[in-house]
Amino acid sequence: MGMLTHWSVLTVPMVLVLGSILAALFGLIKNEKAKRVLQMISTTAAAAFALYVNIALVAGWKGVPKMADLKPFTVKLTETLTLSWQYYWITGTFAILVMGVLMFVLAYALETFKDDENTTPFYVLTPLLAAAIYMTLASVNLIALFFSWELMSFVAFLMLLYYDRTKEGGPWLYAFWSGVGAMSMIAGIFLFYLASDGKTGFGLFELMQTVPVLTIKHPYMTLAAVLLLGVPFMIKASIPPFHTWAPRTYGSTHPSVAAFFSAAYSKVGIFAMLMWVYMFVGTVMSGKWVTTLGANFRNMPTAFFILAILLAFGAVFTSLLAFAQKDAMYLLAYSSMGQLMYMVMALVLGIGITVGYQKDMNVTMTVYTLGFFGAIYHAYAHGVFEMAAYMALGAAYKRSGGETEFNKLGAYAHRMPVTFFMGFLAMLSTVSIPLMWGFASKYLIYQAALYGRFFVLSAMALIAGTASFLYAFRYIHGIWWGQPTKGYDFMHSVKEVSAWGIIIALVVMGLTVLGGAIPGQVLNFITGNAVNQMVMQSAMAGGPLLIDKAVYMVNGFSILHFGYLAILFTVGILVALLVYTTSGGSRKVNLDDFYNSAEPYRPEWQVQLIGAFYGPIERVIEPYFKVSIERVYNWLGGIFGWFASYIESWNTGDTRDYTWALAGLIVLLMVLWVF
Amino acid sequence: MGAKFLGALVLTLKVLIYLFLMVMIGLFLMGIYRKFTARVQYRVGPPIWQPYIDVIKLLSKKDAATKNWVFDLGVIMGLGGPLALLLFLPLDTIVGLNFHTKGDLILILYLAVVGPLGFALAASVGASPWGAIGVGRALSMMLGYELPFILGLLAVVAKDGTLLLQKVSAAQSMWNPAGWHYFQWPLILAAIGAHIALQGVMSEKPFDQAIAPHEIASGIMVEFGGKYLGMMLLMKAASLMAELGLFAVFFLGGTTAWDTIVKIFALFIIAISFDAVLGRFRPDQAFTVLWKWPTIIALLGLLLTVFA
Repeated sequence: MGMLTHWSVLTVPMVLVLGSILAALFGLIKNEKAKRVLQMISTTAAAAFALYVNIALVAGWKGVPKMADLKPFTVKLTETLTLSWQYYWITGTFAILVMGVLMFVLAYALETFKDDENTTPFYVLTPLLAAAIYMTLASVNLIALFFSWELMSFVAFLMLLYYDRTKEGGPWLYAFWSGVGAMSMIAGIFLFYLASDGKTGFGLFELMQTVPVLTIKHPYMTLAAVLLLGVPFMIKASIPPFHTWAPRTYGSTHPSVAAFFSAAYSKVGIFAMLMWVYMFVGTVMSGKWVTTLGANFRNMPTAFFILAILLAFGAVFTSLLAFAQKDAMYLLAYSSMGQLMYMVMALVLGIGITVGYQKDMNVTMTVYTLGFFGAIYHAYAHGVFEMAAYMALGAAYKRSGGETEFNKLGAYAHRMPVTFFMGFLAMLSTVSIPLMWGFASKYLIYQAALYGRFFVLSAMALIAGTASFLYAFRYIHGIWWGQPTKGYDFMHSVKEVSAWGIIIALVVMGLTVLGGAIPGQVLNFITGNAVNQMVMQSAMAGGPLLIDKAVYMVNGFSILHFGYLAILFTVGILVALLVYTTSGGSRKVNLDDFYNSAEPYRPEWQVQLIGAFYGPIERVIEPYFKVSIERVYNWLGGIFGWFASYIESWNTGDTRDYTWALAGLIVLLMVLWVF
Repeated sequence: MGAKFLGALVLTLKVLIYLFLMVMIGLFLMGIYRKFTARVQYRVGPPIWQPYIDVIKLLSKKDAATKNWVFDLGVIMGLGGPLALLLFLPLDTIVGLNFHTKGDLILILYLAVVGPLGFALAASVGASPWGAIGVGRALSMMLGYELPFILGLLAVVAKDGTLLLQKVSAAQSMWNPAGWHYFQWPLILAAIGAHIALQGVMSEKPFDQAIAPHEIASGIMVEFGGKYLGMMLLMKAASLMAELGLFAVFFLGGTTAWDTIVKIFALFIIAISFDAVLGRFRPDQAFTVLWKWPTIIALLGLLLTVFA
């Protein structure tokens, strides 16, 4: 371990690249099975190493260097401009999640890729994408961030392009929005340069501190710079109105790719939003904007309040859209978007209140801690359950011959009980059943919103949570239970995943429960003791907050003992079990043996309810979804298209026409110059 | 060691007695429901103790049909969830427990869905399309009634500044209605909104689309027989106590376990009175109604409370 002292922030990406190169070389092997196994081993080992290094750094394990001793990587471009990548605790916190997801997704890919699918691009590109994500997380300079960000987007695009399952244009939509994000980021960087009169070194921490000063000097330019810089981040975190790429992109690709994108890649957006919100604070609370955007509305700057409301609405809308989906991939994509909005809402609440609510420092500190760490913890919870949901779907996808639509799935749990359980626990976590990770994380967010007295926001967040029950059940019923849509004979040929897949599934299931059973410990572990320090600071200021090993408490306001919860929940289940075991017996009947109002049943009839599962309420909410941001974009695209066609119509096909036009233009310019 | 063991034994007994008591009262309420509805409809109706007879008979039957072990697991989860929920309600003081001080409203709201989710899982495993339709309807209704119900409860949280149930009940008087949140301005609006939603929470008419025997062959229950149906009745009894108990604590000053039980009876009689005379909405109508009037009323109550 002493060797780690010689390593730098580049160590992890280099190991990942090595894993990727090995996977490419193994791709030359003719034997398909050997090829897949070797690719899996090489990349999973690289991911496991990356995970270990990050955990060791964040947890400060003995035998590894301290975080601050890890050498940064710098490239000096000019006297004032140095690109730099450096490891700090938030890099580690997000990197643990990304590397963890990477490891599980790569290892489980043996169970999700069909025999006729080429695995080489997946095994080569996914570690590369993770390396680019890592570099993004470690960027401490805006230009460095830009390069890392674009590298990341490009690798992601290649993955999407190769695994474009449905051919509905998902990768190209992603490419378009990535392009918009890149241009917006460049424009933002340029405006920062102008606002600082060419003096900025583009250091991220430096900018966070100098934004208020820049705002006083150039209010409009700085605000525009911050907003433009936020666009790519919002695109990545799929925040409205920049979210339209996400469902089609996640929905159209391979389940394993979607698992990594949704569980890990999207978190870069959350990480970037975290930095951005601080910059946004610096702008709206300075100079000209203090009295307008920075003026308080319900204990928060108006701009933040609007953002939070927008996010809460977004969470409700995407959750409503999720349960109306007829394809499991799209359902999970919308679900993912809703969860991401929860996280950003928590960040906005937590950070917004620090500048808005000045009456009571304790309240400010408490809501800040709850919101900030609630967002990070929910990012983890979402990472684990979304990964598990996609992985389980991937296993069914392989066995069904590539199906992801509900009307072609059903009853797989009879043949794949362990995989079903992984998906089931993922859904229990999604809907925040107590003792699941998703509950422990959302609880922090609810506490933040309610203690900050944002009741309507809380109600919206709670309703988005209720809507998640609907899509979670659709996932459970549509894929795993009900009647087999491909017939009983086909179902007999379906096999459970291998022992390797079962081991991975069991570990993932354990994680889903671990984060919900001892949340305080897990949260403290992944944030490198940052939560404890925050809570201690809060306590020293007389703060009422406690996030202990297994207790969440805001004194006098809320309390939750996870130990009692675990025991009492077990008591409830045990009593139910007692009733079950002491009561009469039962006999097992076939799947096609069910009550059907005395109608003669034939096995070939389609009796799986799939089409209009929530038909009645879909009809109720449908009119409200007629106003679609995507339609606005399509309309705008139509105008551009018309304009382009109009210009195209000038084309006469004769070069002489253009020569005359050019000559005329030159004459006109000369005349203007003379007069 | 001996004292500790004895203490644990006494605690276990208290927990079992408490749960047994709550389920028995819940079954009694269900008996009243059947008798009451029958009398309103000019029928004699079954005796009040009929649910006890039903449960004993169903639990002792030996040939209940099951699809596989997940079906059984769903049923166990379905009953276990509401029992765990009861342990976090202040009703536990009836046998001298105080577990309700270890959790708050958010926990209760989420624990409340464990039971229905368990039975939904079992219905899904049951593989009957009627069961799936029933679950689809039940979850749709849940989305409908949760909004006004949560808005109503949050208005009380806004007023009392706490999510702790013991503090909410302490902020009200036990028997003086003027001291109840239900009759305080502007909380009365939130209470009315939540009260309408409560009818949906209890799956009583006009919001009983999930069961709807004449339309969808009892929906979720269609594949349940014998001990599974018996456990479902027990779950219904436990859920009734939990749902009505929560409402009583939040709006009717449920201070001790005994007065809360009295108020549960009163709330239940009101609910079944409406159930006896009303018809059933179509699912889309029910959803529209719930997201319209009770929501607007409860939201108004919440906003007025927050801005007061």
